Amino acid sequence: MIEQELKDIWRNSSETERIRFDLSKLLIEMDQKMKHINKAILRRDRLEIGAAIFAIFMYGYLTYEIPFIVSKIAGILVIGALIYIIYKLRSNRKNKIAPNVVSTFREQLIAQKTFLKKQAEMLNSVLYWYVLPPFLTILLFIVGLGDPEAHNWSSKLTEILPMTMKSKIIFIVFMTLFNIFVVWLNKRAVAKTLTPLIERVERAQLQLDAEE
Amino acid sequence: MKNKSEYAFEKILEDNTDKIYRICRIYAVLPVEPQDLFQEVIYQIWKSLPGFKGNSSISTWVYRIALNVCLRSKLKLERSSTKTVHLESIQFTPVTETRDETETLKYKLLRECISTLNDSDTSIVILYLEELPYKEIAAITGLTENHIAVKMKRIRKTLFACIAPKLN
Repeated sequence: MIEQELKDIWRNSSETERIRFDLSKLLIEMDQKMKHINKAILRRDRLEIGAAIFAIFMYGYLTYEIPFIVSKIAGILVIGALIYIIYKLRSNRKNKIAPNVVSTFREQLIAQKTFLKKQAEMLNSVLYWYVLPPFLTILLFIVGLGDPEAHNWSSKLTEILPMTMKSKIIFIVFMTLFNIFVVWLNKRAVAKTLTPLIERVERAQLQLDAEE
Repeated sequence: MKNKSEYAFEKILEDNTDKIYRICRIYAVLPVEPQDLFQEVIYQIWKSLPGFKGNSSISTWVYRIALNVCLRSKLKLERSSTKTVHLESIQFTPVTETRDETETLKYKLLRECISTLNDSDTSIVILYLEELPYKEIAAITGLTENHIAVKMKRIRKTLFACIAPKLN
């Protein structure tokens, strides 16, 4: 008796609103939405690659111009580190396939958990693949900058690059602080956002598997 | 001229609008409105339609999408606001005829009782209220029919214990 009553209440619950579709407009709108998302992804990729190419050219130019052998080697390593980061970012993104929405409820939870764990791993390891490679190579580049006069080198670059011990120390301190901040931000994102989400998904999995 | 997939999409909308809305209504938690969830489900159906292989019935497929989209929202798995769709071509008009207040109250009570269930039980009870057979519930959730039967026995008891005194 109560069972049927509940089913009736449930069935009638969609009668609060009339939903109308303008199908041809809807198809156009959804198409536009899809294109908009794809364009946003393309824009982000272009920006990312553009910034990396700019930095690669900048270090390429510096490496070519400066006469200091340690900084020259470091400059090449910086370029290598930048290429590595781009590769890593792109491969991470390629592997970041959102869980399939048509899978079963159970498969969805498994896929969500795997997806979130991969994201958390990536952010937690940001120090090793995103921060340290450019940090160490740029550090070497800065430390390697020697006395321009001893190398008989005169260039406008001496006004931009940290050539004195004092400016080198200031640059390194700022760079270190900035990188610590980047690592902290990523760790915080994992702790504040991803870990609670993973826990929620795990809880839902436990609830689903209960009584098996 | 509509192509085959457009016809299929139109048919899905015709046949499933009410059930999708019912599910969205139960899962929507402020600031997310049922209409937001509904639009997201429709968008995901359209996006996934080319990949529909016919391994399950359309109804099972639609229920899966609706539940998965709603669960993602409930668990706050969709963090990016850019992923939220706003489709102006879907119009929601509140029913203006005076609705039976008792019906509204009964639904409120049912919703309250469902909200005391956990996420997994909520999804199962929704499918049960949709009057789906255990076999189809199993195909949607990924559990076995036996497991569904065991779960339903307990969920039914909990739900009835919650709602029966309120309805009387």
